[in-house]
Amino acid sequence: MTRETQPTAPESLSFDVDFDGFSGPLDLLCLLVESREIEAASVPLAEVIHRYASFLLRSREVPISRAAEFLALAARLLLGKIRALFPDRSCEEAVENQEEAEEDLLVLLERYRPYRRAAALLARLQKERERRFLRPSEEGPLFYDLGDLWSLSLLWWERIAACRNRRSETVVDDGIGHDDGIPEVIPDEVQVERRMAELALLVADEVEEWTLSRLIRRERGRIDLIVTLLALLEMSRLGRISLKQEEMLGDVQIRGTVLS
Amino acid sequence: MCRSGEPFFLEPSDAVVEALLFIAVDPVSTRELAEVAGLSVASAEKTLERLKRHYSGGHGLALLSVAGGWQMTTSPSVEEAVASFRETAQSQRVRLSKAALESLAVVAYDQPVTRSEIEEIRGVRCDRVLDTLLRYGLIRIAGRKKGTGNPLLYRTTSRFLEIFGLDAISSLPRLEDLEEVVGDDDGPGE
Repeated sequence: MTRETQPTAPESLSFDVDFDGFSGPLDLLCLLVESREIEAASVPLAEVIHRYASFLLRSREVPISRAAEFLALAARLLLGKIRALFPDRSCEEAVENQEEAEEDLLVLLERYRPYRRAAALLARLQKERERRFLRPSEEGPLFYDLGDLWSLSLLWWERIAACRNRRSETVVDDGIGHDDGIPEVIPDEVQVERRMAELALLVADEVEEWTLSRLIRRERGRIDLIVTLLALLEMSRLGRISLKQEEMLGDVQIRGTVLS
Repeated sequence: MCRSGEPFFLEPSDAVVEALLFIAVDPVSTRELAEVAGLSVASAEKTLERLKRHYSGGHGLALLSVAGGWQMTTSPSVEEAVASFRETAQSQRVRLSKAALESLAVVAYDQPVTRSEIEEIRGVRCDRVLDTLLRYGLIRIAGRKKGTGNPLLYRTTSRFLEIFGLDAISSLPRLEDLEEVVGDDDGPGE
């Protein structure tokens, strides 16, 4: 049963609870329930609320803050009771899952242990075996046998890569190879210098003017063209020729500075 | 002289087998030795036994039964000197990590085995370890398993037997007997 006390001052008005196993203020009851010192299921919550409603009706001057406080306390009690009546399944499941995981881990470890011992045995056998040495093979070990497609394909791709490397090296060394998609040779200084000497003879011998379009027509490929352009630029930088363009996008006139 | 001090003589046919083993780089089967030496397999086996006894008498060489054949090796008694000679040890020894040895153990005992089966036992990914073992020639791809995804199957190779000094995969003790053989060893170590 619950009972209420009604002191003289309304602000000190208190609502005490009294039932089998507890007698005291509601907030203390809340604390005891939350700290699990009192079984939440044993608290007659409906009766507490009913008594409190009667108490409110009788004492019409209870401040709203007090009523709110009661509601908060009652809600906490209700929550405690719900938890007591409906235990938290997620916690139990988590514990169960953890236990299952531990069991699984033990099973895995039990299964893994023999292989770990086998690895220890292999290490021991290898150590013993490595006390002996063999005549070294001149060709080096080839680790493939029938059906070992992985090693065979690896060997195959290595051979192809080596072949490609050799081919590209050959192309660079020989300075040929405009075909078959092989990168063209980049002109080096020697080629440019040789072309500069040729151009110097051209502009020196010819009485008439040389133009860029006329020079370009003489070239047989892109490489020759690039070498010629680089040679012209280098000669211009050195002051051995003058390059003059009368109009935008027009032809470039080339003159040897010695003649001019 | 053998270790007991009594003279030990080889028969003329033994010399041929001895010479063949001397020049062979890989293990030579008894059948092949018998064919080349013009002996029966039984005679070749007797010859090999005599040679083995001969070399066990304090020689620098020894006869090893490995990977289904016979191989002439240096004797373990001269290990130190030979290992330091022209980096022989570095060129012939294969360094295997703990993970590699464990994966190799699973392949050796459960072959043919898929990568996922190895990973299930070890509890960690093994793709890079398997690549290393393939590169060393210790395992090989032995086909595909019928089923979802048709995963590759792995087996050990004859090189595996050579590296671990085994005559055949059946020379390994049974998985159940390993505790007795190895003891409560805490793995292969790093």
